[in-house]
Amino acid sequence: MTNRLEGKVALITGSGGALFDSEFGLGFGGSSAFRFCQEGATVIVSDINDDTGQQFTEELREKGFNAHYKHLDTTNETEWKKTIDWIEKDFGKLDILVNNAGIAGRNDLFETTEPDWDKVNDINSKGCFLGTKLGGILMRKNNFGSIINIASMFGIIGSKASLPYHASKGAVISMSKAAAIQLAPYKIRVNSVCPGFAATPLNPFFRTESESSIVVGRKEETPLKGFVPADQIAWGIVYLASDESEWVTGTELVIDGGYTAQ
Amino acid sequence: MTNRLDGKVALITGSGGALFDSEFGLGFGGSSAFRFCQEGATVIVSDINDDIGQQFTEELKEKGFNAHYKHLDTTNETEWKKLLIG
Ligand SMILES: NC(=O)c1ccc[n+]([C@@H]2O[C@H](COP(=O)([O-])OP(=O)(O)OC[C@H]3O[C@@H](n4cnc5c(N)ncnc54)[C@H](O)[C@@H]3O)[C@@H](O)[C@H]2O)c1
Repeated sequence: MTNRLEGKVALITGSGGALFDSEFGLGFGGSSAFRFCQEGATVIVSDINDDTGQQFTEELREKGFNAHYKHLDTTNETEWKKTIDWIEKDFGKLDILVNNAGIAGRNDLFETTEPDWDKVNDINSKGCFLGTKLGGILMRKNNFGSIINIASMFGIIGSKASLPYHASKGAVISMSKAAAIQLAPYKIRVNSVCPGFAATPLNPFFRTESESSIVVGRKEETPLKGFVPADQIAWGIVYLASDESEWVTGTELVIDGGYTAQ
Repeated sequence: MTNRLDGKVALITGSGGALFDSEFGLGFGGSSAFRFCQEGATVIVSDINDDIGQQFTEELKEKGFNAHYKHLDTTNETEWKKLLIG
């Protein structure tokens, strides 16, 4: 591949949770970090999982890539400020921010407690808000930027499986649209990506219980029959990060094997 | 750019309505034809506007690309059959 992201500085949250040969593969963040590096970007891997995050960053460097690690709990505004200050000091700018950190939430309406609601909405939705705000402040100085928020097809549709997760991802999609309008004067684009079912570290049971009816069912219900490979999400993110999508803002890129077309 | 569409054969309808230096620029079809070529695809430009379509295809060939022109009125099933099945 070539230099679709040459000269760009990118921060990807939740991208340090797995290694290249991890049992459940790389997540969307790690896969994007790899593709961003291949496309010539300087990549800041960040996560709350510092051991693996640091190791993964080492793996990227061993491949000759320009990768750095930074601890960042996306629910914590103070940590965001520190991270953004460090990026400004060490790299001088931020071109791309991928708000990818997130958790799953599998509880239906009546099972959901207030702490359940708060946890999934804090990480998936508030984390994304803080990143868009703090990242936007630095990008604004340069009048340039692309923010990619990882939502989910479950931010568009409902399911039997969960309630607060849907709310958290729906919030990501709509806040991205509002931010796209508010940041357009600064030439900062904001889009969301809506993945379908993917067998990442987030869903280990997709692999460990590959014969279970829910796993088989989810693959079968997907028109392209199977789980979306993490790398397919990474390519969508590369597109939104690159200047190829200079006029794309305030939209959502659905990569779900056709699930939501039904 | 490199070979993101290497080895692919692509048909783009309505892609022959303008030339590179046309007054109003290329349309989406023509722009796509150009990018597809750059990415290594074999591109079939098609349109109802045969004069310009053929000239545009020539322009692509002069750039060293693998481009071909075919007349196609997309509302006409017989023409579709002729183009796709022969
Ligand atoms: N896997 C799927 O089927 C799927 C589908 C749609 C959307 N998503 C979304 O994609 C994103 C990436 O998930 P993934 O599937 O790659 O899983 P993943 O578990 O590999 O990635 C999530 C990462 O976020 C990190 N993280 C969790 N809480 C954090 C916090 N507070 N601060 C910083 N980092 C934190 C984790 O350590 C992990 O590395 C998530 O937002 C997820 O909701 C996943």
